Amino acid sequence: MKIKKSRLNLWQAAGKLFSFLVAVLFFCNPVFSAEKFVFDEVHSIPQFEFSHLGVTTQTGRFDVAKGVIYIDFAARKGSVYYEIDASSLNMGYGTETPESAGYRLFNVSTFPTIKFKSGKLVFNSKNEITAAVGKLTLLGVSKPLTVTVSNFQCGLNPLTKRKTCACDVRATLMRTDFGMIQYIPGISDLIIINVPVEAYKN
Amino acid sequence: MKKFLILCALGVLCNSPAFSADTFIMDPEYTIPSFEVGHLGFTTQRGRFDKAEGKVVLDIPAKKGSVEFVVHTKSLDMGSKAWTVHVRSEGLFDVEKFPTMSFKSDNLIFEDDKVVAAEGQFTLLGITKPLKITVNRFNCATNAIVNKFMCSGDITATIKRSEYGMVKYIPTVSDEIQINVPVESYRQ
Repeated sequence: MKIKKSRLNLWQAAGKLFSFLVAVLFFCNPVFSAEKFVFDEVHSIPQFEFSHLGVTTQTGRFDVAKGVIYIDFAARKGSVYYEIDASSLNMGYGTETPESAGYRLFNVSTFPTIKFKSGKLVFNSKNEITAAVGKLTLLGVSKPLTVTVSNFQCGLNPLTKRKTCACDVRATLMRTDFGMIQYIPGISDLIIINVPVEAYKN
Repeated sequence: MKKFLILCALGVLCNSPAFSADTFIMDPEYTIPSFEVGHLGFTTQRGRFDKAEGKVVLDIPAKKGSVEFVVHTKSLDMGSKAWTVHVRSEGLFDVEKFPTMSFKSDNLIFEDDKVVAAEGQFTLLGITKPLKITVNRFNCATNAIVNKFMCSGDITATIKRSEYGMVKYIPTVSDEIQINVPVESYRQ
């Protein structure tokens, strides 16, 4: 009897675990209900703007970044994962080296990636995404960041005929919040980030 | 004074900008032109020319001046190598045939002692057309780091590329191009 009882408990436990897993997959895994879009890396290149010496607006760019976005239009939910290769920094004045100001500012050798993650996409009445509430990780420091999304649209890419969702993403941050304190005020604390996003349905 | 008046009458001193104006050379590291273009109606894409040079002559009391700016088109960098090669090619910037584009103006527009715009001539793909550029954040001051007198500003301009014969991919890639050039220039 004792043995039978413990077997029963085992089966009950397994059954509970199974229904729990089903529930997890059903409610939490975006793959089941959401469409997956992968960023076209050629046309999703992040750029940033800063004020130099308080007089001009200079720009910099990271040439390598990848991202994926899950969108469940029916449930008006989604998530986004975006990762920038910090070593792909390109300021326009030649190859960056470990000694150059840019590489030192981003501490590229210690923090090779800059990440943005969001599990909360904001939709308007037309079911267009207008913002993403998430976290940016820069220099290993994670802080909340809300990015604004403009011109969001989905349709066929006229060149590749593939289903695409696209938008222009903009965000502002204070770099000191992430511990990036060198060269202030010569290079402004306030940074504006611009990322065009063209993402293909997987 | 008599001597000055005589020279002035001869047009040597009083009207010659060489005597009253200062010449500023643009710092190439902080004078990098970029542009924005609409892509497939989807996104705003950006490109950059990493090599450009320029000179500004400024006579602020007289509210006069001139500017010459040359962009080396082979320095185009779109971020992705394949895309850069494509945009440099024939039908777009055609950099082998047209290695430079330029802007020249001898009509700087002042508001008080600040330059706010310039009317000049823009040359792209060998075609020259009038272009008015806007100058934002114009400022002159000594850069304490290098102890040199600097005049600076953010330049914006909008062109229709079709006016210069660059018609490929319109309207998939927009006709209208927004140009942004930060300028930091040092007095010689």
